[in-house]
Amino acid sequence: MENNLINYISGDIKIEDRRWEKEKKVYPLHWNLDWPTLKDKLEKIDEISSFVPRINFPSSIYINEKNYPALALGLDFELEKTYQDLNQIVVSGRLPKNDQREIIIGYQLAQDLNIKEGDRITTLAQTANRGSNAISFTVVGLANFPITSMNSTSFLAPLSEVQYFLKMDQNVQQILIKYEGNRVKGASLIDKTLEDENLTISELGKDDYIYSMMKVVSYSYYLIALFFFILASTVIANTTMMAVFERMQEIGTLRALGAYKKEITTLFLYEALISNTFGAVVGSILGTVISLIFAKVGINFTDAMSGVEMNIGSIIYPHLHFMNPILVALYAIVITSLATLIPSRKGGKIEIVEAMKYV
Amino acid sequence: MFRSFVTTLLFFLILLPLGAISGTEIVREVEKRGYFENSYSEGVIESTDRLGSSSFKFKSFSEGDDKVLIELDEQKILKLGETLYLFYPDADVVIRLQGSALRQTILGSDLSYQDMTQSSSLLNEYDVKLLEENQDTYLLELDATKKSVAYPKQLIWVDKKNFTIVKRQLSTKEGRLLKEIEVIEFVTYNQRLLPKITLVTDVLKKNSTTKMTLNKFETDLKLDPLIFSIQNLKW
Repeated sequence: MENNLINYISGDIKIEDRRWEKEKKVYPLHWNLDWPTLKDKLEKIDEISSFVPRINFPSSIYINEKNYPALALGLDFELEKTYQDLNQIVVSGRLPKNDQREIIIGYQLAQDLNIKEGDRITTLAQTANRGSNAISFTVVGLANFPITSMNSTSFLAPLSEVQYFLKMDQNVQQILIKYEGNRVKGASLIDKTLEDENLTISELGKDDYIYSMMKVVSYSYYLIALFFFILASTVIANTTMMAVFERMQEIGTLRALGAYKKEITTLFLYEALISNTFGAVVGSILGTVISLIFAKVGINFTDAMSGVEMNIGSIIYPHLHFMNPILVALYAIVITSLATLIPSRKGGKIEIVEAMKYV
Repeated sequence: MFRSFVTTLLFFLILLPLGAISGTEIVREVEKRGYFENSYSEGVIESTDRLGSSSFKFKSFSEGDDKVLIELDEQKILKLGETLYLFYPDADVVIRLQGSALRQTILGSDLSYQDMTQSSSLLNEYDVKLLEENQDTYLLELDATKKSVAYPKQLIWVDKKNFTIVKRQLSTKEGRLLKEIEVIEFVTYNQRLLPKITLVTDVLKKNSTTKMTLNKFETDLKLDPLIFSIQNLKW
């Protein structure tokens, strides 16, 4: 989700005209950004890894005397290569070329409007000088966007063509920035560098309630994990306890032969430790393999999420951090060992007389 | 004495309706005086709202009431009867506006395309009632007879001397005001009064006003009938 927001909605840091921010519901494109000037200034900030110009605008696609609403995004396909891999979204055809009247359209929108590769479509929109304009594009590809809702609503067009269409000269509606480091500090640094009170510079999540909500939700994952750890510990303790009681005969024999209580406790503890370590390692390896497979192919929720208007992709790609399986395995070994400590000690404390009853 | 009084009263009662004018007749006279076989006009549309202001020049050709071609900076609008066509130079097709698309504003102004689609005569779409009359104006109330009209109720103030509309209030069926149009300056053309500056206010838009200024007006022209064809919609 964070990647989707960074790539399509807000970047790590986003620059817009302050007045646009207030009236963005009506897409006042005349409140835009001077791209050539801002580009020169942003290039001088070393901490910025990449940045791209964008124009978001509502439009309607005119087919057979009817208008169908669509959201359009104008972007520089060459510059985007430094920002994200757009080739991933292409399901058929290709990406548009800069300076060509071409678009790539969400596959569901294309399906709904019976648009195919090679078709010419005419789209209408309000321009930056607040008039209206229409222009025709050739559809060169179909896209499966990581944000589900875009598949049924959106198309991408080359920035220069959109600027011409919307009478924006070389201006853009927003600039998305990928920033390495603290985003709040980054936004502040960019703000100081640009020194323009007409700009609003916001970091990821500042105004996105879904992002904030997801952050809160992520904390609940720790609670769920804690619940499972407690559950697993109880099961392991119970299993060890059962093993102790089932092996009373063995304990009685060992104690009769002269084994100390401590040795009996260590015996059960080692036994549990070996099986717990084996289980944790095998479990972590299996989990890692499954995560790696899904990280590659993704988990497809397209059907389940059709119609969901959120900035969440329909295909979820789990991200596996290198340290996670190791930490989880160690954590599991410690927890399970602690869980076996009590029943093991209990096994060691059994008196010979009592244990001999089972012999 | 009494007989002469009754005779005089009857005389006035009989003659009074002959001197009075009905709402329908007022509208008919207004439309008659505003009708031109053909015309060419130029002007400026200036709009101001909370998002800023914009200004567009326009040229308009008309033949009767049914054929109008408006050339704006970025587009051409062709009205044939009650149908509107939009032409944009970068679009492959001429766009026919219908349905909800007609409610879109023209160049972000307080005018909508729907405002252009009204019938050639108000009498085709409205019942007219004379509400009030004072020294200078008639106040007419118009109630729509068709469901398809954009404004089911209208109040129109008509100048008594020149039979020109000075103000219009366009409302919903329930009487909720939608738009107000007021002529604030007239210009005389061939002994007829034409609106020189008109203010249009879309009441539903916050702090929004559109000023239309007529800078040039000509009639009795030899217009090529082809200019009112879809095929001819090109720059």
